[in-house]
Amino acid sequence: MAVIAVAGLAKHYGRRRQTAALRGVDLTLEDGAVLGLLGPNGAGKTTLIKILAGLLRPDAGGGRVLGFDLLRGAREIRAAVSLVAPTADVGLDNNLTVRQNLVFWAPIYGLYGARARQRIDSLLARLSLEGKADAWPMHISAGQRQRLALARSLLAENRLLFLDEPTNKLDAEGVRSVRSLIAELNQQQGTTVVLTTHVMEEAQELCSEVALLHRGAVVRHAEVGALLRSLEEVRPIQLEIAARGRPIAVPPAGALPQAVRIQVQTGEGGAVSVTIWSRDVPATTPAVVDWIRGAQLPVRKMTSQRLTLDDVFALVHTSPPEVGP
Amino acid sequence: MTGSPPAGEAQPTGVGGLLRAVRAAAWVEYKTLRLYPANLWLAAAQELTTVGVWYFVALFLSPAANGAVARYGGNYVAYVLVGVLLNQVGMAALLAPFTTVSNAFWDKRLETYRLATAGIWANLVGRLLWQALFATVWQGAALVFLVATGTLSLAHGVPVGEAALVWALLLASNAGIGFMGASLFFLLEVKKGRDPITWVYQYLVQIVSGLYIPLAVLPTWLRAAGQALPQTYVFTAMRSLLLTGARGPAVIAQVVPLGVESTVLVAGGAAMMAWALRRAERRGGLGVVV
Repeated sequence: MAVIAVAGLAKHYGRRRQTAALRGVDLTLEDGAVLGLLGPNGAGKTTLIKILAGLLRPDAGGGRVLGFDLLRGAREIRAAVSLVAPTADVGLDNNLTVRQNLVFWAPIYGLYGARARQRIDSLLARLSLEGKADAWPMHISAGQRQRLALARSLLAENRLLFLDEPTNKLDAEGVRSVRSLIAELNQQQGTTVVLTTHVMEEAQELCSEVALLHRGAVVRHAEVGALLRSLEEVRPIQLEIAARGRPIAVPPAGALPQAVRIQVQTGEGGAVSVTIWSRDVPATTPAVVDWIRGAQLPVRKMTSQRLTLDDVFALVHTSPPEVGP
Repeated sequence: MTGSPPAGEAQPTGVGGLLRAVRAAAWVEYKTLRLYPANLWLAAAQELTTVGVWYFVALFLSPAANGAVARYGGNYVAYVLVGVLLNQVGMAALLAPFTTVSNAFWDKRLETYRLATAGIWANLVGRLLWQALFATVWQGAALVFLVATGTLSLAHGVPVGEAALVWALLLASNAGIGFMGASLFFLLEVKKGRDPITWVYQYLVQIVSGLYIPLAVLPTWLRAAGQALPQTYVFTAMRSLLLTGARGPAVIAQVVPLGVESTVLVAGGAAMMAWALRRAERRGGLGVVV
């Protein structure tokens, strides 16, 4: 069953709606999945999450979340989802201890008495906050405050959980415990999770599928493994050239067989990094070598490697995709 | 851990649930006061100063003003002090909604409240009730002090039920105006300081409601303007109850229009606040950052 089935979502900001945050987003997510929303700053990830959580009304489009209509059932959606924002730790009450913060929110989310106490104790233990239960939020680390914000959002035991950069401020131990909790929530309780992250390793580790956002549109949505497999045919050939200020004439991608795009970056000390994205590295390489010889380029290093989500992200978000399923 | 409940049942609603959430919000205010007990002493000092200043001002003016308040026993000091004490309670209910919304917004908690079924309203009502109760306790203590020291004489057999009704309508009407003002946080993007509605109301009360200036002294057009303010009816009714022991028709004549005004203001305030929240959802205005 699809917990999220939306289409044509659009959102603009500004009095004259001059800023397009989302441009026609279609998204479907099955129950029990873990979706990673990837994209650079300003891609529309937070806007999309807020719309799906019923906090923000789209300017166009619609659909259903957990069976509730996105436009008419926003109240019901809000009651049935949990959301942790990147700034959630700032929203803690500094006049209450760690435990008291959860005690305050429990009845807001409909938890009372013994059930509330058990739930709070359980969350404090699972998020390694037991030892800080009586501490004040301003006396604990940013990572611990982030975990407290996560505990607050998990009080309600909702089926759908939105996490906006959940490991943003965490140290290594905090990252491990949060990732472990997300995996446990998904695998043992069947919680559907939508998380945004810039850490590709995290998306590969936790997510069953990813949606890549670029300038307000979903440019790719696939299972992680399928995405990587489908793009394996596109691999980067990377050159490091000691240009030292010497201008380098880079041929167009079309001039090299099976090359789809060429990116050039200038680094420190006049070093130039050239990445040639190719559908068939063995077919492209001889042409690249001919170019290097013909232009007498001082190449320090030439490598080619398997794609990671980092490469997929870099490939997709800097220009419209030209390859893939 | 137990399994997740079906969608839509994760947060029990209903009056009981709302009341528990309201109590939780009021509890936070109480915990904050416990954490900063100096605020209690500051409140005491503020109360002492306010009552003291108006006592001496009224005492100074009383030789000339007593005649204008003959309807209430001819004691201008008592006339002013009753009005001042009541107005402090009204102001607490008037200002609480905007302050609550503003604090929740700038503390980045508003969206989290919005996720809970009754989160924002429970927060608003809970903190309003705490502020109103806090103000009532202080004004009640001040009243007891004034009566005990002989500064203020109350009529015999003050009808407590009717006085409580007038007090409740004072809170309700001022809260309704307060919610209207709080809605401007989103409707007019008034993000700091005071909203224009409660600001204007506060100054109108001082001039045309009979708070300091007996209504009989005001020109006709100002008296007419005062008829629109809930405080006008509250002051008249409560002074009649406390200072002259009046009951029945004399008080009903104030309570009925006050009740109608309170109903309209509460409904209007709630509607404006609900509209403002929906508009904030459309424009992404619930969060400090998008």
